[in-house]
Amino acid sequence: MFEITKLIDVSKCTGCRGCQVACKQWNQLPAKQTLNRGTYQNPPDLEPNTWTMVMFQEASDETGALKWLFRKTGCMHCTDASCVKVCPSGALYYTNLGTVALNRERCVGCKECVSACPFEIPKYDGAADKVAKCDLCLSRIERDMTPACVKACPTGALQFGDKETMLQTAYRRAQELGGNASVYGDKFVKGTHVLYVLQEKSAIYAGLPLKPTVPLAIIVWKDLLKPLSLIAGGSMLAGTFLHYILRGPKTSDEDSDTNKREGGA
Amino acid sequence: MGWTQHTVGTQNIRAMSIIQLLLGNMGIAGGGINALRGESNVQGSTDHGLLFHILPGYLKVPPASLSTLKLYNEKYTPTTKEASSLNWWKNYPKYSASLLRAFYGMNTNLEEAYSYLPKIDDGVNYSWLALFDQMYKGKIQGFFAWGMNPAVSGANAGKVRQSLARLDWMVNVNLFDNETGSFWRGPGMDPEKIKTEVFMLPCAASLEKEGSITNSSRLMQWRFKAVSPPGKAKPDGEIMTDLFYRINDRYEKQGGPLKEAITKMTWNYGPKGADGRIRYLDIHAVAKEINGSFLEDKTIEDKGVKKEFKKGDPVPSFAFLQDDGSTSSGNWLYCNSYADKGNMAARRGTKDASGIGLYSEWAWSWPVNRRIIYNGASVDPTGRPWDVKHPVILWDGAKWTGDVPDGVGDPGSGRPPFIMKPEGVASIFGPGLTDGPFPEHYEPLEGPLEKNLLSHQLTNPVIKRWDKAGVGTEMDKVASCDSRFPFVCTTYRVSEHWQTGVLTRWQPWLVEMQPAMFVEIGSEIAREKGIKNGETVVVKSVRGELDAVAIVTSRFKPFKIDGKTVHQVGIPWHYGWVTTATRKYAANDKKPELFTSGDAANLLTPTIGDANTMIPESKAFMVNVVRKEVR
Repeated sequence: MFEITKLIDVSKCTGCRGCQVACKQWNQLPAKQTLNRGTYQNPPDLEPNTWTMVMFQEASDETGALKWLFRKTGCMHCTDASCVKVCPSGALYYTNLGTVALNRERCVGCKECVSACPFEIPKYDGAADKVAKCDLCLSRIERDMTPACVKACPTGALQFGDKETMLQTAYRRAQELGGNASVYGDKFVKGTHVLYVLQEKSAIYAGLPLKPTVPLAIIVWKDLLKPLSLIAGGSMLAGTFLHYILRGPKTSDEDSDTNKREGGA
Repeated sequence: MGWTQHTVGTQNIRAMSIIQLLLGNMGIAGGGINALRGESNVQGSTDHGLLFHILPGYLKVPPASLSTLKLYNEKYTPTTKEASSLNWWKNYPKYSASLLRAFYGMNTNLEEAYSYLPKIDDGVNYSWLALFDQMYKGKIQGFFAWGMNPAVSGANAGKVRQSLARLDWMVNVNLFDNETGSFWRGPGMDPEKIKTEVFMLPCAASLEKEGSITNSSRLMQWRFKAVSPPGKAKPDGEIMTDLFYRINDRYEKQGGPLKEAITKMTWNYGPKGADGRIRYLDIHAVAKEINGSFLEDKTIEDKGVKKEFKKGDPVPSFAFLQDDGSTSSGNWLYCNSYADKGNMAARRGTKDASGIGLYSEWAWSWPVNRRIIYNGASVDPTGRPWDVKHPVILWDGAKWTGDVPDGVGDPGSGRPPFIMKPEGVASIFGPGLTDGPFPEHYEPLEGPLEKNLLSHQLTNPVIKRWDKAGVGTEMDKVASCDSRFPFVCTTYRVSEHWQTGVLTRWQPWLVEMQPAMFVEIGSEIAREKGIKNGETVVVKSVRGELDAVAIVTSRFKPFKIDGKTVHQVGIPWHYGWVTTATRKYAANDKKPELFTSGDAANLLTPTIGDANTMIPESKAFMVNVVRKEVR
């Protein structure tokens, strides 16, 4: 499998938020009225209509020197993704590029993924009764285009490519920066498809868990108990399967047809 | 550009230039003073004569005392005693003649064409601050606010807004209604008492028309039209064409002073109909006129070779421009941009033969596609690059390779590299500036210090003090070392908004990120004043006040000056009342999808300019920040 990865080098981020707007533009996500709450960061957090954003944080390093940190946040696209594990409807799924995509039509609004994600990424949209999150611009990357955020980044803080190259680039860059610089993302949840090069100690960055894991309860239920229960409920499963064969995943078929047409144009 | 917004702005830039000169950083790869401008086309606008004192190509606007072209050319054509110096400005008469031909073609002779040029009164300043001062005093009747929003962008914007009320008429050419066009119904205004008649001419945005912009690398880049402008909006060029013909008709019918200045002007910017007028505007015709063409057949000797040109041929480069009226060029610096090889600015070549990132086939830069000016200074007198690893130009034994060499001559020619200076060398000693040949430290007009710690002179002694009796108006107040306004304030931008926000404050995605006027204050002030982060506070100067959201931040640290603690606060300048939720909207007013809050930072800034350029001192003035209830 050919896996892709997005690299976020925070040392090159100027906080311009071109990525934040580009994401909204490509994905046609509406803006909401906000207030300035005493920070540049706006909206306050990811929302159903905001899939990526720059977090602004003032922090002191160990020498007491003030740092104004800019960190783009969004879905990490885990290899071992809690959200995919807990999703009962198959709305969240792994693509063959290694990313985690979301078929909104299938989302039943159960919010299991919202509480399962160690990075607190999926956001529940009450009006639509669905969740929303970044799909790493699946509609673009399937056509050999870079994600909208990467395309918009003027400083090269965002890069995109095959997983191996991005890993090498990330480690080379961390080494080049020296000091406390590190790579964040490849050492947990079997590796993420979004990597950070963090310039400061990773513990300084607000909202970045030091040891993100798939919650134990999910592992116990989904990996151990659920397969057993499915065997027990085999007849129900067979019914669902039959439904699938007869009716098919209607909307996603239509999507892929559209994709083919646009791709050939 | 922040360096320029001080009463010592010109000397700030000179100080930095001197340092770079002493470091040997001129003309070399990675060297020079590279200004970050406030707008993508600032370079282009001054190249083409936007400012009151310069004509296109940095020719001087003639003062009334220079009554003939001959006198004008004599005055501004420098001579030199240095035999080896190229003294490029010796060509001044060629450029002035070609510019007059671009304006008037063969409709008149050069002397008469010169007589049509508007003259400024000797010694009088016509810059922004002076303009609005005269307007306030009722000396100006009509005003075109063309792609500008002075009610937000003008220093001491309160005065600017009052000035607009003293006009008979104003034409607002812009994309959206703004604080200037609607000044008469802004905060504190009574529409009943305002006589100014305002006309709104909606115009096209940059993406809705074709044309070029020139950035600070002097890179002229062609831009293509992406979409058509909405509704009745038109590109500026079409609006100007329409105006030109109407004004022309009025002069033909009614006459008027200097009638011929208009009626004899050429307007060859498109295919003409039976009435002799263009049927539509072809912006390429404008670009070609800027490049210039031969008005008659001409033979010119160039480096020993005779070259034949036919009437109508484009002039290949400014070296071929003539002072006898046989050539036309709307801007000598741009001669070569649209010549025999077509529209050079539209080139998109991505090769970099130089190895130092010149990308000489991407668009075109003036002069003659030279990417680094004064690159003659990148080599020693024998022609060897000072930086051998990053040569800008390199002598291959027979000719220079790399960038287009800058008047350097062959190695060993002894020609000094600063060809725009009569002596051919850069000047550390710089006579001619109003405040002297060397930079000097002065405090801002409004400041926290009673004494200049470095000399006995507190402020720049040659700035024009609008606050003095009989100079400005009652609105030009200054409050220095005044306990009512204890904090130093500076202005800046955020990346989400553009200039006065006329375009960006209507964009929901941008407003979502930066919805409100804010003031950044240090935690010490916040503690002292009991101000909480995110609370709406009042920022006021002696000239005005505005609401702003307090961002309490450790990024603002107090200064220790002469044992005294001085606090600084900062405000962005893009906001204005037109896009707020609290204003009144008439039935046909466009409402923004997302509202902003707060008004213009310039309501606080003083009427004071740099001693040489009159650029307002927006980077340092005095304010207070208070909680709303203690307003």
